[in-house]
Amino acid sequence: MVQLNTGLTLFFSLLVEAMPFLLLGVLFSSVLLLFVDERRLIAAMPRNPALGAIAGSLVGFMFPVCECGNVPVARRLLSQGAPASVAVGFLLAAPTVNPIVIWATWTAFRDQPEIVVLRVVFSMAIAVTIACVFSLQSDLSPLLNRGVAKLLATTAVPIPATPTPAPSPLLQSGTFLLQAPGTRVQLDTPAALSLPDSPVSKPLRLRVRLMLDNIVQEMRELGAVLILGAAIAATVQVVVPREIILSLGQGPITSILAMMALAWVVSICSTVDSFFALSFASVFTSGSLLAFLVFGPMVDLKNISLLLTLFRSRTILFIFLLVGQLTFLLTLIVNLYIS
Amino acid sequence: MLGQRFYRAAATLALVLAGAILVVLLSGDHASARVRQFSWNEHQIGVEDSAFAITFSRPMNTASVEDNLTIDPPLSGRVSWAGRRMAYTLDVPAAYGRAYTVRLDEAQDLTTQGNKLQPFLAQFRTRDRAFAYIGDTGEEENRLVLYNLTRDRRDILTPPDWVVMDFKPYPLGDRILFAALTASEATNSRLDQQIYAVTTGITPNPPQEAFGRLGDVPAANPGPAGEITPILDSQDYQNLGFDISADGHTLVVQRVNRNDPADFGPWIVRDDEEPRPLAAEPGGDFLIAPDSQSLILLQGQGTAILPLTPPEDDSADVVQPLDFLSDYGRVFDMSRDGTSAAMVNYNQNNPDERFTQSLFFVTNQGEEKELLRTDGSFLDAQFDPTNRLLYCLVTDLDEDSEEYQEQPFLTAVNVREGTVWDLLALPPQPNLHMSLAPDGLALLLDQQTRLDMAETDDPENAELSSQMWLLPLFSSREARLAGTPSPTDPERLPMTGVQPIWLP
Repeated sequence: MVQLNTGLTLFFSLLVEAMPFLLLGVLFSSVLLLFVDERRLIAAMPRNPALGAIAGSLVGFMFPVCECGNVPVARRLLSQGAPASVAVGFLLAAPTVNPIVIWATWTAFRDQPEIVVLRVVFSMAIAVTIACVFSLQSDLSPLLNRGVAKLLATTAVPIPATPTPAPSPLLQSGTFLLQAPGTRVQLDTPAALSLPDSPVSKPLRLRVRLMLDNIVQEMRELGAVLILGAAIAATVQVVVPREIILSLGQGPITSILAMMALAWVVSICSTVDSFFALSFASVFTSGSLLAFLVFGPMVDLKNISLLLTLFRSRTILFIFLLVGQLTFLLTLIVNLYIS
Repeated sequence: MLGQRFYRAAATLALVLAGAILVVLLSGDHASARVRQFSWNEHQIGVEDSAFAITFSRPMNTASVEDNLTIDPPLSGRVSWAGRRMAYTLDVPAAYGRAYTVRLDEAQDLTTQGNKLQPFLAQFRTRDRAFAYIGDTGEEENRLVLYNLTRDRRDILTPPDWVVMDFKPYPLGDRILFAALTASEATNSRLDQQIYAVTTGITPNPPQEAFGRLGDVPAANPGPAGEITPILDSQDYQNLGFDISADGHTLVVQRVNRNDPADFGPWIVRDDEEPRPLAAEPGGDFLIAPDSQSLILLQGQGTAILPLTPPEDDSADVVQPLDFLSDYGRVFDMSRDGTSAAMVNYNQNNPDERFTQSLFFVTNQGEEKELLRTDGSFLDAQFDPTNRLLYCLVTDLDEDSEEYQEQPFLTAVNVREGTVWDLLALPPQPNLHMSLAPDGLALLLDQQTRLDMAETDDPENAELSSQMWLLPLFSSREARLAGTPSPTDPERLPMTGVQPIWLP
């Protein structure tokens, strides 16, 4: 009974701390998603692989999306002709390198500012490294999901002023609601992500409508994930004996591995994961907290299904492997040399 | 499988990374635990700072930290841990006017090999022991004087031709609020006093993170001693008594309209706000509660607790009391945590005790405990900072005397156990003030006649001037920790004046 009480307290405190940030993240991303013209953005991106990777990872500042929203945006970027380095840099860094997540991390780790800085630096470093590896490949299509590859093949290099023709709905999988000729709404992805082209060109009234739909949809999906994540975090802390958590959390190596595994399983959204990590902050090493905060947004369970809509499974496997190794190496250095 | 350039490059990188990880793993642990933050580092603390926190860079072996942590001079306290953060809560407030050194030379972290902590050494200070009084002779006459015992330094804070009537220090001692008549007004009545604030020249340097502090940290440099700011004039309203809230942001001044004596009551003065009357039933003595949110005001036969900020939707003309204690006609002091108060019951409901007064300990849990009863009167009562003891100035009716005479004495009561210590008998006199040091170690008393048991070389002169006495309350550290007052002989201070009040 005491355990249930403690568990519930932990669960609700996590929820209360995290919910405002989730709401803000969803609001902000929905607003920007509908008011930023990504075609112009792509046209402005550098073609140099390294610069492109850095630029791509910084695009998150304009699309503050967590890892649940970044795959569709990356897919759109690729399909509209963005260089691979930009798209991959964005895919990996955007969930972390964006104002909402940085602010949330700062709120949670105010007394350990290096966690905030290193989270951003490590995420950027990993994203840029992997994006550079991607840019070695001149033809991306063998790495991509067949659908996206086909789409890529039919899309010309972007022409900033004119909208790209929408791909036929018949070529896309999913459940659709066909409305007036030419308009359709995909039912199994958030409204805004299924838009055939940038919604910036649409009339304001429609954009606002789409924005509201997107907010509700994302809030429902991500809210559910958050509640589940909070429940897991609370359960882990109550059910697993404290000695086990302590012994796991204090080894410089085991703590990193444990937190990476946890990040993968919990799949918690990057706007709120810092509060989740904070609940472990007192017993786990700084490096392991960083591992959780860096690895989680790039790789987690629920992300796989989304990533499969973009890449072939072998590509995903390599991305996961490299992200995991880089995270482990960097946070191990933190644990063994810095703190 | 590795047909594409990407896969080949990725596989190569993965191998390189695996090698790098191996190298780092084999190189071993080079980091050592250290203290990341010490909340009182190089700060000046006061009685409101009851605990410090030390944050470590790694989870620590708590026993090794607790065993090796030293504070010099010693400060007893309790240790509690929240992960990598250790809090040390003092048992009794640290003595004022001293520098303390915190040292942690050896401690291990929680890793399997128990890495050593980088030695840690830090210092903090307590605020200076200082008090203010209204001077009585020579150039100090009628002026507000600040005496710093720690540095043995005396500053006169107000201009020579002003007559200071009353004063109260701000919470961190950087300013003093006072009521005074300027030279031209001095011939008029006391009711013309205006209210000012004066800087003391003390620059508080409190820790950023205080466990019990209310309100903000004050401006970094309040300026040199003696800078005077007018707070309230006496043009339309006369100023009577005043009090400062514990957070230093709210003043309450009892005022009366010069043209309409019925327009009488407390006014609220806040930083950057126009002074405004608190629409309450008129009352007498008052006190701002330690939460800085409510006013304890004597109304009629009882004591009302009024909100300092009336609720927005309150449509009533008069602020409704949050509570009304009908039995108590006076409140002397409230404990620092705001949970209890020392109140006087005039025993009007008990025909047998009609001519006595009782001092009660009243808590917000509804507990009402009679601590003392006298056939004389209670002059003052102040809580010790640990909230265990209550120091009282009481008078007894001197029945042997032919005329009606009250004999004052100083006593201490343990509010929980009811144990009473009679500390000092004082000669009969009309005005008597006491002030308990913020660290609870000494009392200041003023006296217009000679103390019975004190030896003065020149009794005649002593009769004419006002002496001030310092009474140390504990003779040993053990007595202090146990909370059993054991006063030594009072020391006569080298200056003369009235109403000595310790700076917080």
